[in-house]
Amino acid sequence: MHKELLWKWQIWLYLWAAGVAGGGFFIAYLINLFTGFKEKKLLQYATYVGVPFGFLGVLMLLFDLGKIERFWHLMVHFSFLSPMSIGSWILTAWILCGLFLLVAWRHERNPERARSRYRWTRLAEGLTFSLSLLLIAYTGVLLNSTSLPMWRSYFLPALFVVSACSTGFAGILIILVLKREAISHAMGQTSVLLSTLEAVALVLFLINVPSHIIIKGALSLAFWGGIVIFALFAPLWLKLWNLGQPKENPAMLFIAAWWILIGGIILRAVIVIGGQVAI
Amino acid sequence: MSINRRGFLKILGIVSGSLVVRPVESRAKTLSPRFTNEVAVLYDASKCVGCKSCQNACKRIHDLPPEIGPSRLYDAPEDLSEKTWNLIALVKEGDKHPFFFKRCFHCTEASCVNVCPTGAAHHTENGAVIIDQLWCIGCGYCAQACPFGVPHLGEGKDKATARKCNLNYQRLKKGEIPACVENCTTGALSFGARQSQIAKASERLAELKSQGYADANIYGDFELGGMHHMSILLHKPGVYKLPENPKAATQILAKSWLGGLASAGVITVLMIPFWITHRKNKQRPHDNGDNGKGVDRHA
Repeated sequence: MHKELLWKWQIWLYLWAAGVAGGGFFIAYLINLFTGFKEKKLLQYATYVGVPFGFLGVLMLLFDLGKIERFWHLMVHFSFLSPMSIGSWILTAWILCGLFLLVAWRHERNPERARSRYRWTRLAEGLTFSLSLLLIAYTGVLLNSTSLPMWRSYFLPALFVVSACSTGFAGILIILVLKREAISHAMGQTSVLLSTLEAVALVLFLINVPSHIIIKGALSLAFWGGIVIFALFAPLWLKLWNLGQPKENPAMLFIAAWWILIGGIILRAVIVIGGQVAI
Repeated sequence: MSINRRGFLKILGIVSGSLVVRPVESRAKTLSPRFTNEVAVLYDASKCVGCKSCQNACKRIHDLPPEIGPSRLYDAPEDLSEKTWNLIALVKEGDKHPFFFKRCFHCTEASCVNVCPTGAAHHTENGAVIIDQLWCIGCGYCAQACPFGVPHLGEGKDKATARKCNLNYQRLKKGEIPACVENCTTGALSFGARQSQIAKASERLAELKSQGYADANIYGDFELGGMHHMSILLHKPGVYKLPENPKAATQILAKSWLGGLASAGVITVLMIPFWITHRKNKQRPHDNGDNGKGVDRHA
């Protein structure tokens, strides 16, 4: 039925960028919830990473549509049944909230202004967290609501959510290492947890869909080499090894985080291509 | 340069107002109340001789260019495309070789309508599903969602909008019948009010059954909420490569969202022990000589 690839590289990058943006903020906010907002810098780094990635997502959508003047049609119509409609609104709202937070946090450094704006900032942080949750879930729902058998598995949204959190958190770790900031044991554990959950979600997804083309077919090299080894097990091994060391090795975490981040693109590329080819 | 909150809200109101009001006005002309005059085309595969008159009529009425299929014949494209909106296909399934009229089924539970992010794909008052070419953004979601692979996008740098059969909506508005039906040479295609078409299909089905066509059936009387292009098939739908029980793409939408949100919940729960321990360790007074700089192995 679908002989040509309708959704090409722009869509893989779009799904990846939206995932990184939402996933990073989601994990950073959770960490702050658990620590009584003692890790505010993680939230800020997640936003520094997320806003450019959000814009990258919009850019990819524009590239995909071909005609920029068409994009605004998305912004004057809302349909609860259309994941693409919901997703466009969520991404737009997420970027606006992210921009607001970047400005608000700058003002918070000014003690005179901070008090009056504090409540609005907390509200925006909470709102961005809710939008992040919807954003990372949406990328899987978008593919789920099609007629292509590989994309119709309920495990696809689960896989994309876990991958979004993993790649988003990898983005935060990269910033932490670059800024030579402390990386706690709990961060290492969280990173290991996310990679493990991603591996579990990937297995559950593959055994529930017609995945021959991914495992044994034309996409097998990208799958085994790019996803299983490069994006999952190699970083997981590095992180586990790191957890066992008496001292944290930022270089190892840095490398592992980059592999995870790039692996996120390969994962989405394989699933987006595989779903359209495997009819 | 500074701007106060009231000024910001004022500008935001003017900008969003100008964006929203204009398109709603122009869209109101293209959107119609749903199914006030429900009609349907009925295709009787037992009467079709594969003359392709319907196919040629569609090309002519919509000014669609010819396509050369693998047989090198101009009138025999292999499948539906953005240039071919209906098609007489010779189905080959085992020892069965029936003709089948492929085109949009104009479903009531139309996946393309549901997933369309701009509302460009919508129902007309007579049940036809049309794609408003002015509003389509060429995202291709309808093509991915349709269980029959009907909508197609053009190729090239400037992606075309999604194209498919529109049941000759413009002709229907003038009180005419679809060109494919008008040009059918054997009476395989008929057009009328949907209820009467269902009655007609049931009568014909009974006839065919009495003639020994045990597998004969009506496709589209209830599938996907009822279709506005129904078919009397001589064999089971699978022979014609049709799904026996087609599902709307958005049927799993709620479970899909739930799957995504539930996995986020699992991540949340599994993260708690790490960070509770981390918090406790932080609260415990200790001095590891690190002063919060560099590595933080035990925190």
